[in-house]
Amino acid sequence: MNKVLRFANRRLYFLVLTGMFFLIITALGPGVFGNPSIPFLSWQFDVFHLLCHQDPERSFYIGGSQMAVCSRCIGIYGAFVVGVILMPFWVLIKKVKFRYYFRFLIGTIILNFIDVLGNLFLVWTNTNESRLFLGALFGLSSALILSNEFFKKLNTED
Amino acid sequence: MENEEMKPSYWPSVIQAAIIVAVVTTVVGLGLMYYVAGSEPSMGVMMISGLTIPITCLIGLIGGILATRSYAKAYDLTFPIGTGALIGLFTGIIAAVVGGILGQVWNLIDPTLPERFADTMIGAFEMNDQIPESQKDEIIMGMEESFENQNSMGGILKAVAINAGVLGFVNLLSGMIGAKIFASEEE
Repeated sequence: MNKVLRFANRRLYFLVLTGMFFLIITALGPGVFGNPSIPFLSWQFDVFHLLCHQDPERSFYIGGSQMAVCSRCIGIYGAFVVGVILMPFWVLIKKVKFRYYFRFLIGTIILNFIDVLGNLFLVWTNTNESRLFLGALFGLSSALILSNEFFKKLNTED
Repeated sequence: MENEEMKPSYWPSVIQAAIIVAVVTTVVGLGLMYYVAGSEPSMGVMMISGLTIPITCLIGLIGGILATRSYAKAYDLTFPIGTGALIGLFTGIIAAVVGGILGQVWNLIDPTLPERFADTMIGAFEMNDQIPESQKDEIIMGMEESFENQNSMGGILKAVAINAGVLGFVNLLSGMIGAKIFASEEE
């Protein structure tokens, strides 16, 4: 028995992949373009000002210049792209029912909220790395929940 | 398959979700501007040029989820993620336009706010003694020019276009996820 992948919604998949590529390049901030002087006046910061708090203390830096999104957001976007790229391999390896993907997604949202609230009420102090990791879990779960919509595993007899 | 025929319009759900996103993002943005404009110039103020409320993070992309949920629940429908993507895209674009209009309406109510915000930000930068004077003048001129551009008609239209592009795309993603969660058939 051979495992074959059926690729559905192709145009949407490539639209998402292309859009995410540009979004990530922008999210990395002005440092990528060698213009680190005033990050918050850059077009990259304009792009994300409705989506992220852009707090300098909660962001990573490239070439001495703050990224246009915080560490949690870069984790979300980065892991989402990785998830989209890995979708076909994931579907081939493992068939997972929607309800498990959904539970994973809800779990990562709850984890992020607990982390934010714990930090806000001084129960613990999170770090850029911990925010990146939890954001990445959310981004990955958001991509994986869509995987069965783009790729379906078919079993064929030779 | 009965859903394929005579599908009701998704525009009421799109407009409703877009208005929610536009109002929330505009209120949060104005709140930040008032906070900065009312503060003494300092590096601390400059550092919070972005929003500092962690919960507000990602509010801009819930439009797609809200619109697809509203559409699916209102008519008890199932639809593909492509439709969810389209609903999310329109929601993001309309939210950006409505947000731009709300911002301009507020400028009529309090026309001095952008100026006070710019003054505090520039004042904060002037206090920074880690930057050589020669570079500082050049950067401050750049900041003044940037603030002027933001308040010109071209700058406003550019901001709306940028917001429409990015909100459109991220809500396209959340619209797909919304369609999958609220409007897909059981697997």
